[in-house]
Amino acid sequence: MGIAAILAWIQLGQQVWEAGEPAFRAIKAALTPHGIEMDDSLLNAVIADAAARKARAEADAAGGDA
Amino acid sequence: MKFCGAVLALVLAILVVGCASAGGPRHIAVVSVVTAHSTLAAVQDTEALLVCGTATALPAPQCITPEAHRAFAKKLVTAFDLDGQIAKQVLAWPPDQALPPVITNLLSQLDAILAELIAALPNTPATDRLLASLKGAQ
Repeated sequence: MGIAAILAWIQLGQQVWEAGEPAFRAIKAALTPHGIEMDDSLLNAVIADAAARKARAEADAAGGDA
Repeated sequence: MKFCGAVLALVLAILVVGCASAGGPRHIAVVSVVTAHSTLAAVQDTEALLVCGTATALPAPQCITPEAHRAFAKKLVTAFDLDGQIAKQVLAWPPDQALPPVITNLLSQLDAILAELIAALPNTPATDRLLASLKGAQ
């Protein structure tokens, strides 16, 4: 990957963040008083779904239906 | 540019840049983890549509044989295991500390498996839709 491509990705990432930042901060402000950490909630959701999808893949690998 | 290599490059590039004034590198890492997980889930769901004999699959050779499906699933097991490990590592990453190297290593492994999985999908409209949606996500 060339430097130009990397710089383009960095610029895109910054644009995405700038576009979503207000919504992120609003949701975070609404959840914080309830003791909910948004990032951690997202990670826990990923961990749970990854475990479920891994189990599904294990069943498929063992010969189960798609 | 391969999509998966691009994902890793984006993750690493943003983490290097830091974005400290805009949510911090840990938050950017969380977004990256969610993106990688969503990509992997879409790949799993798309492959399931293409297995020979399912109502959504095309006739051979444009469908995935049961043997290839099992081989694909074995790689998915590894991929989702890495996926979960990465999420756990980021969850345990204190916001005020540097990016743990283990996260970079795990991301590299996941990136390689994702590339193999996408390359193993047959050329079908469903595959095209998956790739188009991933490109749209960029």
